[in-house]
Amino acid sequence: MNHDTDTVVEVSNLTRDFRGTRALDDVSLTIAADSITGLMGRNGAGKTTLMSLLTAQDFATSGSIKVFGEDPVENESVLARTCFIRESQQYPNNFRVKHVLAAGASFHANWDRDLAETLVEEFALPRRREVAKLSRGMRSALGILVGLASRAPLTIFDEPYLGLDATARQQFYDTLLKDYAEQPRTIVLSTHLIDEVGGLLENVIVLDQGRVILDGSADELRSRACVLTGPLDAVESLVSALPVLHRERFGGHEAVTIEVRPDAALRSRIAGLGVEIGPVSLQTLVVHAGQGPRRNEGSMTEGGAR
Amino acid sequence: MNRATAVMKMHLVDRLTLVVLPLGILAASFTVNVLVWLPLAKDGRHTGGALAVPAFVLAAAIFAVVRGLPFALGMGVTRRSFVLGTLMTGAVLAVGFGTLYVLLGGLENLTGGWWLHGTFFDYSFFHRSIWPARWLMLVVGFFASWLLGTAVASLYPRWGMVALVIAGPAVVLAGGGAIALLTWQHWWHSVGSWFSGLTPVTSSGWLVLASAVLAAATWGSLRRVSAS
Repeated sequence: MNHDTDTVVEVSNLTRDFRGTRALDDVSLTIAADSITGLMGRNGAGKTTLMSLLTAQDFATSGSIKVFGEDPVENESVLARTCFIRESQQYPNNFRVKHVLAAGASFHANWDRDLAETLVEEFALPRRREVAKLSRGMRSALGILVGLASRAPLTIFDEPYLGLDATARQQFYDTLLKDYAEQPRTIVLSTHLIDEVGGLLENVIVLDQGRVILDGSADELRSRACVLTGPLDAVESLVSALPVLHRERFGGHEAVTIEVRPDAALRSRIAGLGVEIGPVSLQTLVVHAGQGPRRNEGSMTEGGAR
Repeated sequence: MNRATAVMKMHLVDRLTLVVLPLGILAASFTVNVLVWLPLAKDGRHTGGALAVPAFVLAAAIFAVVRGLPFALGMGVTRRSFVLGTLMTGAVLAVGFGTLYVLLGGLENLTGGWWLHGTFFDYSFFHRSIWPARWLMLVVGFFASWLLGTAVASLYPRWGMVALVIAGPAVVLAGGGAIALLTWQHWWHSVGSWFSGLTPVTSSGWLVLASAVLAAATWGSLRRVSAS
């Protein structure tokens, strides 16, 4: 009980080695209670390893993990408050959709039957069909259903929407937000569809080669940079001495993402040049963060190639 | 305990594998044996067909662990609760099948071997002890076959391919070595009399011991298993 109740996950100096490869390298982070956190990074960055460790499905090589203030390993009172849906979630032999619903209800004290029923309808899941015979997208929808209806105080989704169409993904985001508003809880969502979930996330953690390279509130991260759009010459002259993250050209115009706060000083500099300041996309920031320490034009993505 | 019960409920959903198929296979095996008995002489009507169910129980236990564990861990179940719930599932099945076998054995006895002098359930061996001992031996026997399945299924996720590569030849070598030793020392006769001296009571004791070893092997493997 001696932990800060505002913090659900507390990881210090966490390292996980797999036979010669370091999947996580001295990771320290916290995840606040009642928040939606996006866990991002390229394939092999260590996202799944981190999530497996948080739910004690895997064991740390060194470092410490506290979930709800306690070590989660074989800890019934902690783990009973978690739900972890994997990218290719497995189900017991011969399980039908209705069996998954029953099992979800028996494992999660907060299980919301009404929400589960609503999602069965929305995702058009055939209740009596065997899980093994569901399409890829339907299996993903089922995983999402379990994760949402579990209402577990710590719910973790690892890339849960393989094969799911854009409409169903939007349903997932809408339901997540709506249900989260009704019943706030701690949600961790690992994803590559950064811009798609950008509006959902309060916090962002970016991993790269097992290390945390970005960790902060989504709004704060977005405020670190902005996009200047306008005539090529005007924009170029403005950004020549600024840290550029990304360039896009169309005809005589250019949109340049710069790592500069869109503050009054910047506004006064662009006055009268026909250049506009716009918000930066989370994806641009994450992609750039994943490109290592280089922070000048040399690191531009293909959008900036002449 | 609560969550172990939930694990048991989860396993018991698969009634097809755990109940329907074993009973179906038992019925099929029994039918085939009766058909074979018809043209045979009265003293040739013995069969090991009843072993089909424990063999099937073993396979079902492998499925229960391999397919059930990743799901249960995702639902926030501890390995301890999973193993406990899986053992409870095996116990429930063992009591069910053991009771069924004792009842069918009694029926076989009453009907004079299904009116054909056949022996499917009611071996003379069983009559070395009173029926509660028969029942105990069958229940523990079914439980041990379930645990053999859980132990085998636990090896791979915990120790990887290495375990199977080592365990397979190790079993063959140990078995071959034992056979060679028995032959070399002319101990076969003693082994034979040891087996023929067994009763349902003493067999139950050995099966309890085997169950304990297999349960320990299951827990020893799964307590540190990583899911992926």
